[in-house]
Amino acid sequence: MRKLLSFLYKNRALLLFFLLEIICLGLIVNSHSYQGAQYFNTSNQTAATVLGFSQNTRNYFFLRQANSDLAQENAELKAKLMALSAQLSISADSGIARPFEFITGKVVNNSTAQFRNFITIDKGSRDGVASGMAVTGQAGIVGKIKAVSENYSVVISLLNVDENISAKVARTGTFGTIKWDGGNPRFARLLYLPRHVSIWKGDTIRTSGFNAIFPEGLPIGIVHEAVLTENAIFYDIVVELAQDFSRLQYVHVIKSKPKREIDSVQQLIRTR
Amino acid sequence: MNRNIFSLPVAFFIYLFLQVVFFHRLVLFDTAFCLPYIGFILFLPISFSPVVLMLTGFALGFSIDFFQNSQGLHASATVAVAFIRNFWLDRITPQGGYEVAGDQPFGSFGSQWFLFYLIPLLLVHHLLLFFVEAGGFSMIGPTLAKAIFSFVFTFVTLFLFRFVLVRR
Repeated sequence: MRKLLSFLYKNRALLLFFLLEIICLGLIVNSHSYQGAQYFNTSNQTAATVLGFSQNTRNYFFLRQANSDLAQENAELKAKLMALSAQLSISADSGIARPFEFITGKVVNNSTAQFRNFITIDKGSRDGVASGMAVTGQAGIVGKIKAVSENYSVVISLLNVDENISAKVARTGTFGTIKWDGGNPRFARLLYLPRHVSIWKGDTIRTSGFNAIFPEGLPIGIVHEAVLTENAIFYDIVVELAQDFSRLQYVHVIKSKPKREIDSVQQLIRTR
Repeated sequence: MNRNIFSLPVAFFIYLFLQVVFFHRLVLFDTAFCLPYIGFILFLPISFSPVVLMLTGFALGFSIDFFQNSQGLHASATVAVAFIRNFWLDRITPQGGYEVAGDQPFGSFGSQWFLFYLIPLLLVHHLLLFFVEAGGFSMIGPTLAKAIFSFVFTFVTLFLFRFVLVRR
């Protein structure tokens, strides 16, 4: 017994090293799953406050850009409003009107250079944000909510190698999957587009609406390069993302009303 | 320089704060990260035992992870560096041993020794960090680029830190 104790004492550094590394490994593995890492993240009040201070300082350097972006978005929205109000006079089905609600949040923390990027925003459960909701920027989709605290939430960025997003080519309606490869934050890949479909440079890629997290038809990006090698089943497509993630200052969280209904009706079929 | 025991917790929070608020935003070309927080572990007094170093390293890494949503990532790399630091110090004892300098800061053993001490430990830290982040060797090209460029960036920053340490 004494020998064992003296052995343990002698090797305490090594043992502690293994213990701590195993704890770290557990944390890493846990945080990579979608359900994982609900606690020690930046939706915490203290962390978000510190990061918000840093981000606010940084925002001053981009005010001019933010201003012109917002003005442009304003103009686009006005045009859309005109078109929609013209449509509205024809059909007024109130039962399915406004299936989506938007909650606008300010970016508190953001990264684009890691392999798994997250964004912290200043809207939380108090404002109606819940995990699983879609997040979009002014130009294109951004990601989905991972964790929520009372006043803050953490968004899994589209720039995260673990993220898959169901997409379609707007011109042909063919489905594929958008995935980021961990490289340049301006580009992602469109996977699983079969070789019999035609694809052009400049084709718009939009969300497919298959998983009901993202409403159908939100812009993701445009095709930058499409390569078809001799024996490949699928195209090799590089998509230029519509949203420039490095300039993200405001995002809109999308509250989808049909999501619960779609989920529950799919659940019904699975249990049969 | 009188580095008493109370100044260390203060230094811990200064390193943490600077890393989280300032250096975290300083990413060059989406490739080169600046991670001078590891300097806190590397510049702790030579007399510190590995157990203390590792516990401090774990606390520091864990706090950094907390702010970057990367649970366990920085903690694992920092603990590893804290573990091997003293072995490396034993290997590269300068002429006359460490007693000559007492508890003096690391900058006072001369530039050559300082580089010899700093470079391998920084490399270990950065390689571990970025390969664990990538989750293996499947993205070896970009990962290696990130590790090497970040190493250069951090190294230059820490080397400039040294002059601040010695002047005091």
